[in-house]
Amino acid sequence: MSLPREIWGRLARLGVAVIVLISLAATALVLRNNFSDEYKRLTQRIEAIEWKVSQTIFEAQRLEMALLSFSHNALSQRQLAVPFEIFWSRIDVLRQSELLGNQDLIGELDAIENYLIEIEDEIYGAEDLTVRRANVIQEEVADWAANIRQTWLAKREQNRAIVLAAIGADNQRKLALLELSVFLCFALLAVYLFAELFFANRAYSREKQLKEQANDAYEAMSSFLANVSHEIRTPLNAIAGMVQLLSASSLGPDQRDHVQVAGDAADTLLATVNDVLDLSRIQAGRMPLRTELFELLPELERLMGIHRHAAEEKGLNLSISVTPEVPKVIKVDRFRLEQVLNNLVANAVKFTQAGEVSLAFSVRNRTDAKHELHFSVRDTGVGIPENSLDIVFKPFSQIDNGFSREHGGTGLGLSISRELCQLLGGDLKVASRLGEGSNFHGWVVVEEGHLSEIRSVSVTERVEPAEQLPRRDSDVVDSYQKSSETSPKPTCGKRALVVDDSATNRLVLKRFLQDEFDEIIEAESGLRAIEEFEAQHFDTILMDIQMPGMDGIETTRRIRSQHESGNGVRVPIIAVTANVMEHQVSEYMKNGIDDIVAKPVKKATLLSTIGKNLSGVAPMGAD
Amino acid sequence: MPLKSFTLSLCALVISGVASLAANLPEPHGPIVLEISGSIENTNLGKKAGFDVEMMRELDWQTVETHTPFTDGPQVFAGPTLSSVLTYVGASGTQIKATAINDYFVEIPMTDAEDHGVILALEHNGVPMRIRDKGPIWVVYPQSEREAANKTFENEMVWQLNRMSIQGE
Repeated sequence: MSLPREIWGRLARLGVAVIVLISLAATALVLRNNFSDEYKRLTQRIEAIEWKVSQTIFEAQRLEMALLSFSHNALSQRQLAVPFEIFWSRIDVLRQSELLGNQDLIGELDAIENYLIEIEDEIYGAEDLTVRRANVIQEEVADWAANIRQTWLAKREQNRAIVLAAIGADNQRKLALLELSVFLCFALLAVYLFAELFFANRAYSREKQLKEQANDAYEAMSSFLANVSHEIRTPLNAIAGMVQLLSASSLGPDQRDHVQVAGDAADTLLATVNDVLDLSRIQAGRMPLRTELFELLPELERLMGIHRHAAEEKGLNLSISVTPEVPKVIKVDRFRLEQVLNNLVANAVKFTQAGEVSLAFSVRNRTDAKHELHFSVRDTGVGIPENSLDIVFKPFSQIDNGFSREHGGTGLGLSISRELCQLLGGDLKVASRLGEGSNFHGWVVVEEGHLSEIRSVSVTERVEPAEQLPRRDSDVVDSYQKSSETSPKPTCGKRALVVDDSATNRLVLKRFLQDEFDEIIEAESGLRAIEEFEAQHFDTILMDIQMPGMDGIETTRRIRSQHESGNGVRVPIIAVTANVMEHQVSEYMKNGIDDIVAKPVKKATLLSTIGKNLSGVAPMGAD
Repeated sequence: MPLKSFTLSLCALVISGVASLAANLPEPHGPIVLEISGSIENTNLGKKAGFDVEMMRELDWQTVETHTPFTDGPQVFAGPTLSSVLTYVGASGTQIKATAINDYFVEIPMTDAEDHGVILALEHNGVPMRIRDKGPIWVVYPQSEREAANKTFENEMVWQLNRMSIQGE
């Protein structure tokens, strides 16, 4: 409802502005014409009077000429009548004109008229006009004419001034009108501008408020998800650990099946938690990107390796093609690109019953440094109905066909994949036909690198602690499968300290470590840990972060300060925690923690992390 | 009055019947107040047509009340219509050069005669005009007060008219 009202308000304000401008222009135009009309009329008035005065003098001279002719017998008395009459008519015309209040001239004309009446009888009379009398009249007429001329000339400038003043007064009124209308227009414009500003300001503050609310909501969601992830991961840690331990022990066939089911359920739950976390981080704009130089082909082979088994089981042909232009070494967030491809291939395999899944890579829009790395994942699977094509990328949307329900999943994979592609400067699109298969086509922006660079960089890259974090469930799955058979035998020391307020967690960790350490001491709180640390030497400390009382960070800080003030070798402290958001990790590092192992703990990861930190800091004599 | 106008139109009919004859107009008996020259069919003074007041009275004599740019308030003028004068002399042309006693002249389009009902006024408010009163003939365009104020026909309204020359064609 508020939107149309705002549009109407805007239209109304626009209307006012247009009306104001039109009326201003119209007023200016009308007055301009008016002024030029006035000017024309002024000139005409002055011209008219000048014409009449000159005509009067002209006719006076004609009368003089006629009287002169009469004196010389060239004209009869009767013939004098015409110029006499004409002169009279001129006097009459002038007397009736607008003489602009020239009282001298008016008086002059009245006198002439009286004179004409006086001599009328002599001109028309029965008695003959004498030559002498004619001469007198001639001189008198000449005098009158000279008088008119002088009187007019004397007042000529004044007359012009009078006319100008009259017109000036008229123009003053019109100018006042113009000023008033201009003022009104500006007042209206001011009101309009004020309204614009007012509404713009209101819209701005409303927008700001909404943005703040949205930010608050995101923050609330973010911390809520972090909490949920912790609350879910901690018990999951216990479940996964126990399942691992169970599967390593001697079990009957039924029991092995049950343990397998429990392990699969834990995997699924972990995948879901990870997906939700990823999406929430992307949507809050807090997904960190880490570009990395790497060789594309080995990466793709590794990726295909993950899915080959599943594909072969279904009898699907899994193929990959890369055009020659695709750079061998690229720089992009490897992990995120992998995540997208992994997801798309996994989906393709999942939804295809027969035929093939093919991956194709190419490059477009090359510039000097950057390329668009295009990829398509094509399958011959169930396909997507046309009316569902635009919703597959929406979070938690699963197309309602038996297939997707049968295969389950959070429905977040495609949303995350597309968001990631966009984050990496590209996009992800889909084309599909029901029953014929789907083609997911996406691209990301990559930089081209060289093999020489990758060799020198890789060493330092590998040492980055954050790289050690398990960021995807696929790693977890890997570790479950591998941990029992291929546990590395790191060169661990003799004594480890396990700090965790949960007895279950301590138990799991202890079981994981029991083959590697001579002695494993448990501490159920930060204080207890410090006591143990003071009492004896440890080769490794595993530190839970979230503990009642003194938390893991505080405990670590205290241990570090004691260490710095005194006794020798720095003990590696490894945080074992579910809180592995970026900002949390950097906080741990700042406070003296050397490395992190995420909960739920994978035995292989735990042991390799411990081994790395031991070998880097204090090489053990044993092994 | 209807009888008079009937007689007048009968006269006009008779007159137009003999229009093609040269020097076919009756000679004026009184003083000549108007001379028409130029492209005309009917004459009485060589190649010209001369009118005395009586001759003019026998044409389409009209009395009109009108405003003028030169007077205050409505004025009554009487005289023959310009059309009837032009028809009487068998004028054919586009312009009339109307000249006053003192040789002032203007050119008037022939069509004005019909379009504006122009009359050649000899009387002003019931009195024959002397020269001093803008006589003997004043070309009068009947007009409204507004037209008078705007001086619409100021130039065309020649007074002291005594000659007309038909021009064009």
